[in-house]
Amino acid sequence: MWGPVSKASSENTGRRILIAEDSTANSISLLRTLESLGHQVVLASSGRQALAEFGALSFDLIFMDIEFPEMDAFATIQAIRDREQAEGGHVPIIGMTEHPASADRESCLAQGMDGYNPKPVTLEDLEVFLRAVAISEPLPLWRRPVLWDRARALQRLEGNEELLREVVGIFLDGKPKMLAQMELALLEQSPKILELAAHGLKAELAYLGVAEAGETARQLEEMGKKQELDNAKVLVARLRIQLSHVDGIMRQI
Amino acid sequence: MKLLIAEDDPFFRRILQQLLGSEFEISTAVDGNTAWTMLEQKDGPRLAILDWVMPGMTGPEICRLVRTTPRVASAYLILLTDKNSAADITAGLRAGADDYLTKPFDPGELRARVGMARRIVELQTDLATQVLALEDALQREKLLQTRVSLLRPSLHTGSLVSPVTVAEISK
Repeated sequence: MWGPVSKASSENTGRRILIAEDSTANSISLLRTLESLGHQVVLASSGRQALAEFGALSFDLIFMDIEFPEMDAFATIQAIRDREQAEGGHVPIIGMTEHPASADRESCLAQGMDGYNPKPVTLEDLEVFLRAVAISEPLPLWRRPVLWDRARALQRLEGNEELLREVVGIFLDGKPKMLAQMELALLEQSPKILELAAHGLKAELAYLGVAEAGETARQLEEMGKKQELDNAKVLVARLRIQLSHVDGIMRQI
Repeated sequence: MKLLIAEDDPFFRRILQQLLGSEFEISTAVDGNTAWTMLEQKDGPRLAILDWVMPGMTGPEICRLVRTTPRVASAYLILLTDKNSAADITAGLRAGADDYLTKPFDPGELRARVGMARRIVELQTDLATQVLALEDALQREKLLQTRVSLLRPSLHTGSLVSPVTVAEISK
């Protein structure tokens, strides 16, 4: 399901991307860049319009300005996630803002986004997200592997449902911090921080029976250990998307 | 029996605490240095599960320190690790761990290994008690012999042993 990191760029074209943003100049430059890479882009200048487009077409990726007029961006995201809950699927949503404070980033992730990027979005940023989408693409439902082997986790806790809920809670609470540590490692180019954060996450994921994301965490730990951070950014983005899928499932228990 | 769980990750700390809580009197440490302080205390735990990677001292570092500190050297130490390559396990055992558990551990295996640890700690405690009793007996035997040898000259001279002295010897 999750291919190697270095996938041919030709496979990363032809994506359908929604840009929900009110600043026209910014949107147009983003649109031009994406179209020049061979993607189909739809622009929405309000939350309502974004929801209408989301209802009419299927998208591979959504960029959304979180300082959105007319309709609260987080409310728009919630509406999208609610619809997905009912109809299935999960579109990665990347939040954008001109004020990249860490609090913004955390609220983006807490509000159901899969990634975060300060404005302006550069070509390099786009490639990271597009590659993460390409290698994280869920298979059709009938071939989709088990994202979370809940039965396995329960068996490891001797069938104690209450304990399972408790430790899933601990995992979900600690997850943003571990992801933030990984972002910090990328920012400071610190292999040691990456290794430690990925190590901790990997162990928890393995215990809970979350194989796919666990494998990504393992690869990140390995990169930290070998001090090779070249592909780490893509893998962290992939991990975020994988974890957001798992998160949705876990919060249902 | 007292059991120390040294694990910085609240996720695993909670699982271990919950799975073993009914069988042991559990204390927890969230970093290696605290774990060592707890282990070296008088009447501290004789059995510990130590995570490999922790802030402060690591699990193997604690093992090494315990083994070179005579007063606590006999503590039973289980390393918790997800490094399951043979080389890592050897390094852990060489540092002085008695056993190891690999994450993700199976609860049955956890119980079996901790159960074995408990039996060994109990045996050690019994043995220590017996050694103490034996040392005590030896000490008394020695005392007795000293007293007997003190009496010998008077026996040789044929003087009678007074009842008071006999009573004193057999004290």
